[in-house]
Order: sequence, then C-alpha cells, then structure tokens
Amino acid sequence: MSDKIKSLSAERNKKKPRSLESSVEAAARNFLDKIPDDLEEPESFASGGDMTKISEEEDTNGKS
Amino acid sequence: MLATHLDAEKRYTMIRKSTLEVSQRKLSSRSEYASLKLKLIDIDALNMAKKWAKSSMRRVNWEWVEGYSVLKFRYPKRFELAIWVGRELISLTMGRPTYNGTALRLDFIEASPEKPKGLKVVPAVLFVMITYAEALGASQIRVMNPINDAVKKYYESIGLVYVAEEDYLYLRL
Repeated sequence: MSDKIKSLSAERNKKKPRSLESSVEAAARNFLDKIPDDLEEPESFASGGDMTKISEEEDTNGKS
Repeated sequence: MLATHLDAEKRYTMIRKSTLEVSQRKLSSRSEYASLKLKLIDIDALNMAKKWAKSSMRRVNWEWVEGYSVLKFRYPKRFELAIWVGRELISLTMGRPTYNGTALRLDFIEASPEKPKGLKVVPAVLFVMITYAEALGASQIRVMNPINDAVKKYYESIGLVYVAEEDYLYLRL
C-alpha cells in the first residue's frame, strides 16, 4: 500500500518533458538570468561524494 | 550489454548532444560565458583531467577515468559535461536521474585547479543540467554532497536549498 502511495506521488511530481528549445528558454529565464553579476565562485571548486562508490550507490538519498 | 540498454544509450546520447547544442547557443550570446565550449566527456577530457592530480590546489582525489566508466555503463540517462576554454579543460560534471526520474542529480563536479579566477563555470553547468532535466521531465535538480561550507553557501547564494538530513541541495523547476 505504502509503495503504491509513493509511486503515485512520484507520478504527480513528474512533469511533462519540454522540447529542447522550450527547456533552454526556461533554464535561462528561471536560473541563468537570476545569477548575480558580482558573485564569486570558490577557488578549485569541487562538489560530490566518494567516486569509488558509484557502483555501490542505489539512490539512497534520491528515491523520489 | 542488452539491446534495450544499447537503444537507451543511443537515444539519450542524442538528447545530451542536442542539449549541449541549444545550451551552447544561449551561453555564447552572454559575454561572461562566451568563451566556454560545451562537450560530452571523451578521452581527451579524461586524459586532461589526469593532470589535475599534480596540482597542490586540488581539493579532491577523484579518478575520473574509472568513475566515468562506471557511470556510463550503468546509467544511459546520465548527465555528463566537459567544459573547455580553448585547449584547456575547465570542468567535468557527472550525474544521473533519481530512481523514479522526478529529479536529476549532480553527483560530481570539479573545476580545474588552474581555472582562471573570475571565470564562472558552476552557473553554466547548472544551466545545462536544468535544460537536460526539463527535457527529461524532471521537476527538480539535486546537487549531492557539497564538499564544504563555502561550496554549500555558494549553491545557496544561487537559489538552491540545502537538505541537511541527506546532505544535498535542490532547486525546484
């Protein structure tokens, strides 16, 4: 029962895929245009976990 | 490799390439991103990334050759991006959709330790990623495991929201 509820919830959270032209316009409008001009990026930028564990990971923090 | 897996690999490689083409056109029209060249990860990028290991400025010890090989084999819908400026590799990024496909995860991003100061790469990466996520029908992007507080705060400053229990940031699309 709870699996069914989770599955229905996931369906509701899925959007209709956009065309690529529409996707790029939405990404520019909703994200890129909002980046402050004077924002500085941390040096030697990196972000992520343990790359050796990619093969072991099974969406432990990303089931939805 | 199963035929269905091979079909999915071909199909999503086409979507990834088309995503880079439309994103490149948009970024090329903005002066702060005009020098960036978007490509899929290839052997040239992986060879260039090996040189990062020699830098004392590097913050992680990731092996991109092995990591990319595993991700490519397991996830045909993956997100991947190599950003170049001229002949210099500026950043590598890999991610994948979540189990139900409602979100697209950014699992690893690394900028070159020699990246010119002032060159913005993270907004460009997330912009391309959002474009791909929208094309797949995902309703959220997630940036997994920020490596330190400065990185987490940077993501928050560009609109992402941190989830402490599972150590990721998200942006609703």
